[in-house]
Amino acid sequence: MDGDRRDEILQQLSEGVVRFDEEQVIQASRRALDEGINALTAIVEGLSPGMETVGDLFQRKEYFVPEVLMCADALNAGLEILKPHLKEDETATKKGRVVIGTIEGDIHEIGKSLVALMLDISGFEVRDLGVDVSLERFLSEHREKRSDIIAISALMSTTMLRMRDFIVGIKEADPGVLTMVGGAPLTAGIARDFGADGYAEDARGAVIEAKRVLAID
Amino acid sequence: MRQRESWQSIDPGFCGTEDMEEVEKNFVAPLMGYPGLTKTGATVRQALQDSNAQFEALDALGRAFSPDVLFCFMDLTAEAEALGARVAFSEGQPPSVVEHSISVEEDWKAGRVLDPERDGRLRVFIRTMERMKKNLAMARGAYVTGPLTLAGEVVGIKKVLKGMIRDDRSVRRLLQFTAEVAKGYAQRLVEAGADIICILEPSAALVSPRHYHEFSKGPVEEISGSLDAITLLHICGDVTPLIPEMIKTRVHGISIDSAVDIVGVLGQLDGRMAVAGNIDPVKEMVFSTPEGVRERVVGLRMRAQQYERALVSRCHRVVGEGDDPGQGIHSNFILSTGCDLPPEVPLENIRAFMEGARESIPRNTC
Repeated sequence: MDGDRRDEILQQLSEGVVRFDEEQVIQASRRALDEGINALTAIVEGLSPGMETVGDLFQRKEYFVPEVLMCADALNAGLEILKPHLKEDETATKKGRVVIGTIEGDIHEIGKSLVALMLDISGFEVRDLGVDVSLERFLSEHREKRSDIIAISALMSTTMLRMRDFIVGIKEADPGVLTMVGGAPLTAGIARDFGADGYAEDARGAVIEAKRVLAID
Repeated sequence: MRQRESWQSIDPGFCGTEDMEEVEKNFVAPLMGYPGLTKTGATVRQALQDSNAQFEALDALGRAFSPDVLFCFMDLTAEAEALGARVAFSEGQPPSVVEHSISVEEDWKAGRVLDPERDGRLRVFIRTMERMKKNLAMARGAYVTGPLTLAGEVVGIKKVLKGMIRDDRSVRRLLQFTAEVAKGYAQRLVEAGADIICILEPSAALVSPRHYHEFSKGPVEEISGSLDAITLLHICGDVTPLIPEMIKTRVHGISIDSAVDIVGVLGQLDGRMAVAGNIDPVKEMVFSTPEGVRERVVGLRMRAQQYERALVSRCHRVVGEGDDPGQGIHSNFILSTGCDLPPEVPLENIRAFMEGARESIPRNTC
């Protein structure tokens, strides 16, 4: 296949995500496979840059949460088609293992799920525990998965205040695991005071921060 | 006898303001309820399920700090629960909706609206307000959950947000329903004694100014216009992009969080409405020292005064009844916290907030 055609398909994947055109993403994902584009390439060079652009638009306040949710749906539609075609060795060479969830008492899931999605398409192995997650659940999942990072989200200032105890509990159970926190009421300063190893303002920042705490290029 | 005019008959919109020459003081209205439990020893659960426990905590705060306005407890789950959503309580933290209400779609299609006296715990807040009216000298405020936020709580916020793009007609219908719910409940709170109704619309912080304009603004104005009370619109978080739309919304004032440059907002307003805010409820009120809080409050007042205007009498009359410091000519800048104070706020920080608020500062004369 010539390079132009390959670029065109990757471009369609990326554009489809940005314009939250699910149909375009589905078509382009199928075409990618039909025309012999490697599934990993389609994800990393097609869908993923699209979601990066979405992150930019969100940071610039051109996109808001409804648009980002629609983009994430389009991205997921593509992943559903492409992921089964990833080769074994491609899924095994992950950048790191992350256990993520929204803290107990808090059922806000949008930000947390976007972080999980961005980490996933950036090459992390992500286990998303959902919302209202107790310390015990974070720890038992961590023991099972031997995760590198435990990432905790909170949207309300009241539930955010519990993060400090969670981080203390996590470090007591395993001083070696890294912790990341995020959510609307948090700031870098509060995250530091709580003893978290990492903090990010949004899903794009979370990927950069996860790489930073794990010292990955 | 409290004198009140119908807001609708005057102007379905803003509080008027006048030149600032005469401004003497700011209304002081920290959004607090939960820290009062430190004084009474009741739990959060008790305060939200029993009007005696809630009133006693508020009474303790009123006596200790004498704010100009005291709001009842902020509970964003009350209406959702009354509509059938499942709510998880804890002893120490405000509750949260843990399961959306599956029957609500049938309810709104059937046109069933809440009965605030029977459904859920809404009567706890109504009874609390009645006791506040009977026993407290300061002006009283109560909260209702905004239309978009309540819609998200009863059917799931993702569904509502995506619906704005995919299926805007059904979202609009749902918001009409939730606005009706808020109107009915707010009406009862006003009858029970609330001078101020604060419409809590945190979910609007998630959407674009265009979507706020298209979906949330109208239903908020409908609630505001139906009430014989001062109305505030509160949206938490960094709502900087929404400010131009918020200040066009026909409510008497807006309440904004610590992430927003409130002095800049006062400047943009040119006195068109009241603005309440915005000391950080966590960074300052939980974690700072009393001296830090006091300095922050004084600093905010100093910076705000260049844009302040005097509230005209009709606003002033409703809020300003009662003993001094309710009397006097008040600014359209209402000194408050960016959001509700969590239970962990030390009482000495609230004291420091009030001291900073009451301290006399040099007034700009130019």
